[in-house]
Amino acid sequence: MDLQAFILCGNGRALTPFTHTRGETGLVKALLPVANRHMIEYVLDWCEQGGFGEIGIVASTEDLEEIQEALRSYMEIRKRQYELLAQHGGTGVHGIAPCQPIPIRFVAARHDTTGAILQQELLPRIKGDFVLLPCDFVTEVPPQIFIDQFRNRDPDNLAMAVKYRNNLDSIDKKQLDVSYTVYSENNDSVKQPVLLDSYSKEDVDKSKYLQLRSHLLWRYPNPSVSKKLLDASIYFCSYELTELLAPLGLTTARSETESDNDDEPIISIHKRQSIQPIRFRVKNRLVKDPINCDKSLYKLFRDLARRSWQHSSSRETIGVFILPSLGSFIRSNVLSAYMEANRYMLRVKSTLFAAQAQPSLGNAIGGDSVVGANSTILERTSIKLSVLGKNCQIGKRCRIVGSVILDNVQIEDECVLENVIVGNFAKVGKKCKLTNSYIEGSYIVNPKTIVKGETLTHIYLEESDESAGSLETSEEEETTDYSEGYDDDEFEDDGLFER
Amino acid sequence: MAGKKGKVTGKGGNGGNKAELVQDERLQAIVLTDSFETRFMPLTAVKPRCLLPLANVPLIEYTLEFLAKAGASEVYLMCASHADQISEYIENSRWNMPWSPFRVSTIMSLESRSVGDAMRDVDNRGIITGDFILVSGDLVTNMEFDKALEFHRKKKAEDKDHIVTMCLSKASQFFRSRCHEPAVFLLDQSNDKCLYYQDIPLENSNQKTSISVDPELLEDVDEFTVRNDLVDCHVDICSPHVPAIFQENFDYQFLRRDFVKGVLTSDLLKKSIYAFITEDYAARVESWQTYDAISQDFIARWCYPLVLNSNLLEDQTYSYESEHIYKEKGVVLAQSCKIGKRTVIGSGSKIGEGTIIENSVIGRNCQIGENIIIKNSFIWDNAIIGSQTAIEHSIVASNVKIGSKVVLHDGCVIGFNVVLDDNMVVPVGTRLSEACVERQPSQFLDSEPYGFDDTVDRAAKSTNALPARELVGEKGVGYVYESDDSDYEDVSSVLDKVTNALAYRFDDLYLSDNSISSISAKLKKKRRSSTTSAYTDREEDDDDEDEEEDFDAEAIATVERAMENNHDLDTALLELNTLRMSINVTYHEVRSATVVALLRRTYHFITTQTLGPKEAVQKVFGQWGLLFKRQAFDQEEFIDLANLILEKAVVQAFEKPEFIIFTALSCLYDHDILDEDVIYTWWDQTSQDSSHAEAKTLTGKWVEWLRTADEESTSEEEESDVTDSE
Repeated sequence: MDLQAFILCGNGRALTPFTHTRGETGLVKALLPVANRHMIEYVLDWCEQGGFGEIGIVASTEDLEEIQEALRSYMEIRKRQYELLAQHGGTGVHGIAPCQPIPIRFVAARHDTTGAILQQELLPRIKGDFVLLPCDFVTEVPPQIFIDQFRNRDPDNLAMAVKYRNNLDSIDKKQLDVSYTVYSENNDSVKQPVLLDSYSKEDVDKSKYLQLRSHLLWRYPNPSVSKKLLDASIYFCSYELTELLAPLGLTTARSETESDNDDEPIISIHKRQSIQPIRFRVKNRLVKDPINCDKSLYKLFRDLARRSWQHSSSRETIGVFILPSLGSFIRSNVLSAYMEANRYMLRVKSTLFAAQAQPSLGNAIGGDSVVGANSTILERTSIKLSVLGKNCQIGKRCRIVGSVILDNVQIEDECVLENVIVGNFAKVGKKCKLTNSYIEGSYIVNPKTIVKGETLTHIYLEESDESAGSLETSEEEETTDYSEGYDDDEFEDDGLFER
Repeated sequence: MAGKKGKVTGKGGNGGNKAELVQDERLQAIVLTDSFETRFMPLTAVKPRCLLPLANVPLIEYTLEFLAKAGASEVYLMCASHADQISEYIENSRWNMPWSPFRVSTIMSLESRSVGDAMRDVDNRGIITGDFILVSGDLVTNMEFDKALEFHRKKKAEDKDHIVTMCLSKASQFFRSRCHEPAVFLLDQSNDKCLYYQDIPLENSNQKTSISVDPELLEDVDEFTVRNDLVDCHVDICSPHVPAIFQENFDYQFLRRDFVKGVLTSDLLKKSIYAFITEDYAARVESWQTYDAISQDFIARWCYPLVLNSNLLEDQTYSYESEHIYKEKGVVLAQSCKIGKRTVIGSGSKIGEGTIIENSVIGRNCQIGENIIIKNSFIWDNAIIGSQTAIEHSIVASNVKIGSKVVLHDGCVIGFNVVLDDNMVVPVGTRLSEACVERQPSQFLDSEPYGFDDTVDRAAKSTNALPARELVGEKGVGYVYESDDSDYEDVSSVLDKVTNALAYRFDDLYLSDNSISSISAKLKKKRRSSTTSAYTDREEDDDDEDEEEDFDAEAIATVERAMENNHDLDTALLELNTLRMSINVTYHEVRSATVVALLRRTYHFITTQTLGPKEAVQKVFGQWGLLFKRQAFDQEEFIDLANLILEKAVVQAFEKPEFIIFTALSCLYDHDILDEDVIYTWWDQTSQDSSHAEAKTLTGKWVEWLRTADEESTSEEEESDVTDSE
């Protein structure tokens, strides 16, 4: 049976200021462009490759509308591609009918945490094994590898979590959230590797100790702990998992009256073939403790993993699949990784179109760059390893290296941008020099600003009126402008008096 | 400095060209013949552990054999208890012959009470010239030491801070020779560097423990493994720094949980320890259970090429038959006796008609009568066993005489020279010794010398002073030996007893987690295992005394510790509360203990003249009196508290008890712990009582003063109220 795939579109808190999390300037995370395509499209492509039975895009109601709107053209193209193939190929030469595009459904989520979304909203839709995906990954590892790994799991595996190692040096280590992932390779047994636990670095630092429960060590005597593994947020789940999580919704009302022993009738109601009562008790335990599902998927699966060793009788396990370092896998969940994902796609493109010569009109756009439609680039501007969105206007004699510039950005003459992300509708004044910085959408960078390693954002006073906010903004601009621009002259105070 | 030796690439120690080798290439070995434990009591009261026979060969032989194979050139035996016996044994052994592969010398380290002491002694004597092997005298292994040494040298070349390579043997978590004191090693996945070490309780303990690793230790490490499947056989290759580190840290007692853990967690030392993991057989005979397990493994040839028919001792003549039967020359077997598989019989032993022996070891010159059943047992030399006796899973030491129709149940240990009369039945797990074994803490117990609070009520029990007539019979000779665990350990760590007893087979052990649930598995010995403040927190949690006196002692100790180490109140309260709940006593006991502790502290301050009486009381009660806020909740209880202060202060024998009581009470009053009503009610009650009249004089005056002051203030208040209303 085909897997159902669910793409969970988060709000991209770590990608501020370019996401919706603050103000109106950002985009929905799933729609942030990676090399001028919405990042979710890569995931959809990947799903297409995997031949999943159905794709569900899960996002909050307001985000969902935008996503639906934005994906219209993508869906259209997909449909036409299929029609084209169907016209030409048919059941013709190869005897293979082109496959129908996988149906895409949009699921509005009302809950805040991914765990709750899964439990409350997705479970009723799930008819078999399923996959939970993030909306932000780019990979060259084909889905078949994941699926094969999942199909070969041990029978007592409920789900398979995917971890990857970051093999790009350029991603800022500090931004990635380090965690201690505890897993057992099960070298001494026939079993597949199993996820056991994970602790975030913060928690460990806070409690001053990394604590490993001795019960875990008795159950799994040779676990490995890694600080390098990152969570891919990809979970291949078996249908059994829904049974484990399901009763929360169904039996909440009864949970108080019914004790552990009264589970048998429920089993018969649900007509499951091979349910041990043990599993049910855990369910009940979960029922009593509704918080348990109301957390991120990461924590939910961590809890499920802990469950495999926490109890005296053995429970089902959560498998772990560590992506081989051969294939690259990038999740654009933090800004530097987002940048890296862009660059990665640029590199892929440049190798694909290496032969194409560039028309030189006094300006140089490297083969490793992408420029969106309706953008103007004036003469003697060079663009390297960068992405330019739609309707951008770039002035003369600019140098843009390794940057990501979203749609409708204006960059005036003689700017130098290195390793910068510029948000929508932002304006960069003349002769700015920006390095390693992030500029929020609609932000106006005053001319001659020199900034290194900063994030330029609007300032929002909480719930204050607009005027105050904008005032604050302009003030902020002024001061940064002066302090940055005329730092050497040491006339910071004068700036204030001049006003 | 130390690194240069590792870089010498020439292989040393094997072959006859020793003369050509550099001085540094000599491989020295330190053998700790004393384990500083009492697990083999009562046998070790007579003979040291390393001379106890395992499969009819003294344990030390296995270690020395290993060292010979390892290419050691100088072997030093550190002897503490029964040092004379060991040195005598060595003198007469083949190791002392001119053709011995190494020079062996015994070092009398009679004062040593722990591994740490022995190592400090090594340092004092300045024996060590280079890297050396540190082993215990109870090791059985067929490990290929060359590889370990090579590993050690390689690591040493890479890491100049490398001081110890621990040789660990891979097994599974439940491997039977590791059942005692399981421990976890954290190893760096890339280079097998040991990052952390911690003991953990056994699997069946219901304690929710965890190993806690300081993330600072893991800072530079990306991936590491947590190994709970290793047998720690205590074979270490050490650099000459090791004894010096013991010397510097005079509180280190144990090789692993003090030294290794200390070195790894030390911020200052910056030394590293590596682990060499071998697939070979390696284990230590450190408890009855491991004795049993290793014997069986040895007989089943798991240690090949170290097997019995290689005849480790010169006069041995074992030959091997199928089904793991080993027989020496000169064994007399009756025609109808049955020798089952995995059995060893020493020369000169006679086995009578109809006797069945299976899975057992019989020493030399044993007289085994007719129709006897011996299963899974160990009969040492010169034992005489009468007919129709049944022996199941027991140890019968040398020169024991057992009458006929005796039944030895599972797990009995019959000590040297014990005589059992006919028709006796010895129950499960009994240990008998010829003479009454006084617990000699100073001699054998390493937990004793620095004894903490628990020494308080530990008078030697007199129950075993009488011969155990009901067990050995009228003509018998023997005393019951009560295991140290049950005897002196208030924390009756049944679990520990279980693991130390021969009686329980492993399957039982791991099935019986219900019966031994909720019992702490931690060894009492941990008490002194470290001087960091962490230990006090840890051990409070696992004290489960059931007697109130013990609670008192423990609670007083807790409060004292809290004061000494300046814990915060909450921690102290938490500890006390845990203690209270675990022993199920009332708050009265808690208060009483706290009062005693506070008064003792005060007394201490006064007698040492650190503070004057008034300052002392104010300091102690001012800071720690707040404890009472959470120990007394209603008026009655506060009155009880005041009573306690009165009583205990009198008991404490202060120079001026009346002053102390007065100051303490007024101090508690000042801190709003006792309010006026309580004091008045209490005083009304106690002033009637004529006892302690002298001690109450000052307090009486104070209460009087308080009353008048109170009245004044209340009247003032009333007045002011009146004025306000107007």
